[in-house]
Amino acid sequence: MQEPIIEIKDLTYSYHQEQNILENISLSIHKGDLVAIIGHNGSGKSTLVKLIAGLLEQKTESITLRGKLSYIPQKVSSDNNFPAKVKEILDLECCDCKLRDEVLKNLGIDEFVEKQFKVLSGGQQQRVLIALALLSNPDILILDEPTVGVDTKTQEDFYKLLKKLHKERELTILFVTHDTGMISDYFTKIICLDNKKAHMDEAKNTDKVLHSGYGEHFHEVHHHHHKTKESN
Amino acid sequence: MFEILSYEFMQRALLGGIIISTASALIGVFLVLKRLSLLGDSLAHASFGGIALGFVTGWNPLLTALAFVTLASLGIDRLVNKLKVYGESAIALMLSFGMALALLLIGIAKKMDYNIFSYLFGSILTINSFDIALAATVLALILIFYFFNYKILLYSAFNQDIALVRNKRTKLIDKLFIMLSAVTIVISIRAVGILLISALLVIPALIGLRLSKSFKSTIFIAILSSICGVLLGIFLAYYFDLPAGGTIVMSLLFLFVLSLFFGRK
Repeated sequence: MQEPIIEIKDLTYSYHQEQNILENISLSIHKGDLVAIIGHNGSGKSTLVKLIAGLLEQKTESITLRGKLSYIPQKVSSDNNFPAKVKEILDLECCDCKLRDEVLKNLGIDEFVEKQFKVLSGGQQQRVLIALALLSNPDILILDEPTVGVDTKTQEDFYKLLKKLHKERELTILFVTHDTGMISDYFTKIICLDNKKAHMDEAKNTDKVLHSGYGEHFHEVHHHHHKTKESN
Repeated sequence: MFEILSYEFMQRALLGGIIISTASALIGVFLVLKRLSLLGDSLAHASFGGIALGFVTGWNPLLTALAFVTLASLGIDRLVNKLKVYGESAIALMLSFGMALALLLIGIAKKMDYNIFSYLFGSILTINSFDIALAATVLALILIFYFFNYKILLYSAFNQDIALVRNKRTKLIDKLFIMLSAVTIVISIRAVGILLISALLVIPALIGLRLSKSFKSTIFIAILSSICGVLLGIFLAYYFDLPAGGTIVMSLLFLFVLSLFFGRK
């Protein structure tokens, strides 16, 4: 079997000598996996992806990456003053024209490249960030709750887009989310963080993982899970 | 009216003014976007400690301020990133440290020189060739630094997390930027003085942000308005015999108010 593109062995992490937020976590993520990372607030989802992305310093070298990584943060920026045009932001990544044209067309950005980033809608800003990430030609794409504060339709378009990109580019995608309703439709794997531990499984077993991961909160989450599915 | 241009001190003031306003606008745009405007104010106040050190030891006050402020900027960086002190608290701490040190040094030396106050409020009309050479060197350093690191700087101002993941040099470039801000503050002391430096850093950037439609034009407008404000201030100071620090800042504020009428928001 191929070596995992992200290999985590025995990862433990705490912020400034406080209690561990993650404890002895071992995970193998393979090329082409489309992974949803779920868990309660404070369960360490963002911490885990920040460690993988290298934004937090590991105390021991527990994470091996075998590919180029791009990261899309939770919040674009609360700053509505940033003056750059979309074009100027995309220019931050040097890349060949062919890739650029393809990415812009694929994400439907060509129509607003001349606009300033700050005047775009939340969904459009998100697409610019994805484009920026794709222009660096990554093997791994990490997204930390990128759909927070975006309407349901935009969210759904976003999941479809991810699935398409995943298929076309064989991207490995890690996606932190609270929205458990769509996991089995769009993702291949699921990682559930709970009580400092991580459980990984196939996305089709989401119910099972939710059960093991969320413990006594299962019913509440399960209820939400089915409610979201019905409304879809 | 152009007879004033024949005075040597006026030529020096105008040349110095153009160099200092260009440098401070270039630094100011990034400071404002990175939400570090207060850092500029803090380093300016901290520089008073360095200036007092120069007065007491007899060394050139701008050079001692330069060394002191560079160390202060590294101190703030260490407090925030290693010792996990809140950013604004670290800034307040360094500000008080510099001012208190200055008071102590002046007290110990029992040397209350009138000149030391020229550093508090600026005196661009008395700028000398050494000050101009120092300012020109700093401006050259900024231009070289921006030329080679423009993308990383812009990336980091746009979103620091993405920038850190994409380029391992981001942290180093951010640190060097803060050090450059520190030296820019020191050369700006001559124009408006320690107490008003924030104006020179922040107001042109705000005008740029208000009137521009792209990042490049933001920088261009900031530099242009900074130069206009400083030159207008120098002329007003000369004709009405007023302190240049005050007229420069008032001119910049006047341009800012104008931008409110012409801005799109």
